Amino acid sequence: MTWEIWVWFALVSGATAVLVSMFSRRAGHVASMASSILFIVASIMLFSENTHYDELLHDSFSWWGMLLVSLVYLSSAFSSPSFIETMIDAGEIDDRGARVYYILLNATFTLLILLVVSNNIFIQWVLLELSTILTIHLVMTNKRSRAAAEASWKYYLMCATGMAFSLYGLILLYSAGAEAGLRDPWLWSSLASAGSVLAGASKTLMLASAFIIAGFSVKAGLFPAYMWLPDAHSEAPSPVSALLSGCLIYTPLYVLARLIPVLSVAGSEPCIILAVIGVLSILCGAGGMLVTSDVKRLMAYSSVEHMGILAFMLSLTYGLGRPEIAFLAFNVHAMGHAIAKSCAFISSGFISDACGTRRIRGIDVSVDRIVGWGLIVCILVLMGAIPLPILFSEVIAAESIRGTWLLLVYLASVMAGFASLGWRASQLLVSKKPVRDPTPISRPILVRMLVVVLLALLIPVSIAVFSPCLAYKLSATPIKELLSTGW
Amino acid sequence: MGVVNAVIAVLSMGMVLTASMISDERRVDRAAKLYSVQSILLSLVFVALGVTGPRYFLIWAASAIVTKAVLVPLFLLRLTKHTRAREDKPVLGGSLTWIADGLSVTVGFIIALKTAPPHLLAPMTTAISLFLIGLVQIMLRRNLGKQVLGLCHFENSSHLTLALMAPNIPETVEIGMGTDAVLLVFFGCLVASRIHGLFKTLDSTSLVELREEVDAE
Repeated sequence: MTWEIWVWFALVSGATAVLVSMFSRRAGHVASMASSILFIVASIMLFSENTHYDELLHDSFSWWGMLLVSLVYLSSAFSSPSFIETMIDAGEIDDRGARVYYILLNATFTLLILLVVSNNIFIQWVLLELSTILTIHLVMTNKRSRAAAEASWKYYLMCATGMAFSLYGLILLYSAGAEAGLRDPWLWSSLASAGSVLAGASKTLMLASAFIIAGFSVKAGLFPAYMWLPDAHSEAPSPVSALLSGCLIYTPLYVLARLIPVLSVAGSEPCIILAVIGVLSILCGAGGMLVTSDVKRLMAYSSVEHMGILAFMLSLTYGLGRPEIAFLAFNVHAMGHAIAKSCAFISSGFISDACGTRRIRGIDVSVDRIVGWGLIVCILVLMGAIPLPILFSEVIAAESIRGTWLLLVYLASVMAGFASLGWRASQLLVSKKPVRDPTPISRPILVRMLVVVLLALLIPVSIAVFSPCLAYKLSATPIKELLSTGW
Repeated sequence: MGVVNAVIAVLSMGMVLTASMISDERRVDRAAKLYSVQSILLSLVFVALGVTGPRYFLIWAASAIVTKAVLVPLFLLRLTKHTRAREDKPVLGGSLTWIADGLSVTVGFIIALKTAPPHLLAPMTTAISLFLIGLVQIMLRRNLGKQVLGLCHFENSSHLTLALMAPNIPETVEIGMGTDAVLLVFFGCLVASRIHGLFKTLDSTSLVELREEVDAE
């Protein structure tokens, strides 16, 4: 049971960071950084552990999810002190607010780790809902900002409604499992191993699929209810934007990735719905990127686009494509997006603070070579213009698609996203209309180097695609791993 | 068993009635008190289920009293203490609210008729109707307190559905959902009071106007 020890190790370190943050903000700085490193240590130690399913689970998908959450935690924790101190200096937050910030930040990441290792679908729902509630407060960290308060309210109302839908869906799914005579229908492993036994309750399953997909798509910022995302992600402090875009909107898709094989037992409709939602989200994200003039909103719309791509990849795993390849693409894309987007939000936060504006035409990337060029590289990675995880995953997904028309629709929508982000990125490099003389970024070199470290992490993720061992691990669908354990 | 089902049916109908009254009520403090009544009715449904079936429903009843009939209304009353309790003119008000609620109950009844066994027809109609009434309230009400109450309808609806369709669920799930219900309202009221501090109103129209201003910049 070594794997459980490492999971508890991560959870206890997160909980300790929450407690320590109550005492002072300096303790919060240090505790969150230490805890994020311990999360990564735990994730690495879990790499070689065997698959297990109980109330908690461990398989290659949960391991990858845990690593993703840990890396985003690292980026948020190490960049937070710099942003929080700036906010304190500007009077946007007081010492108590800073302590609350660290408590909530550490608590959210701890809940997310528990979510990825939980086998109980209702506990996963509770954790998703709690993480939403905590991050609502994080979005309005700036106590003076009216725009942040408005964005928090939209985020609160839309996500809570979406989560209510998904809870209804989960209850229906449980009911279908109980109807089919399953032993523990609240456990994912029990539902997933039932296979065709669930087909008898196909009507209930279909209804459950509709509610679950509708609910989780709101939480993931997918079409049609994505409107909260650009507001909340752009108004939050940059480390919180990294948390929201990097892993919070990924987690509903993580849960959905586990549930899709169960929901698809009654037919391929859930996958078709996901494919449609995915393509429309990519197009909405691309459209939003074209019209926005704010660098953080640009990144937020890019998140809508990438969540659309992930939803589309998910639809390929159990219906419209070749499962193993599509699952590899999903995992690699999720990790690539999480790292690049965290880095993009942090670097755009540094740059916009230095230039005194978030308007793309007013931003001068040459104000700091490390951070400025880091931002440009991040955008190129997110576009899929550099041979790194996002480009690789998009090519792998295209390869897994069955059907020429579907392939053409996918390529056209991805190209639309590429062109929109590319157009805006080009504006970052030319036609400057500064609002004031840019002030040099005063952050310590180590904090600025975080951008480089995060970008460097994309290289080992790219290697995963070509390394037979890792690629095999990441292409194993959760259901295949579950069945191989003889559950 | 027949008597218990009849009692559950009557209590369920009481829940729908209170939901409609909450929708129609423009004073948030009174609506919060009505929500407390609705939660007590929900607890009585759990008591009825506990008397004839598994005993753990009695614990559910006790937990619903503490969390939903006491804590949630308290948070809402605290919110209205420092803010204007009366809602501005809603998008849809007066008799139109009752028509919208009537439609919600009709849709709820049709869905329940197709999916629920005959003895659960009334409580399932209630569960689905509460969900729809909550949705209508969130979309058509302008006061943030009333919108939080819309979310509270979702909570009661899910809780009732969970009891009817997912018996034998582990206790941890019930504890988790109870905690979630309280925190959802607590944080909602916190955001609403921050908004009141910044905008001097709880009317959501002013938030929409601000967003339009920010986007125009």
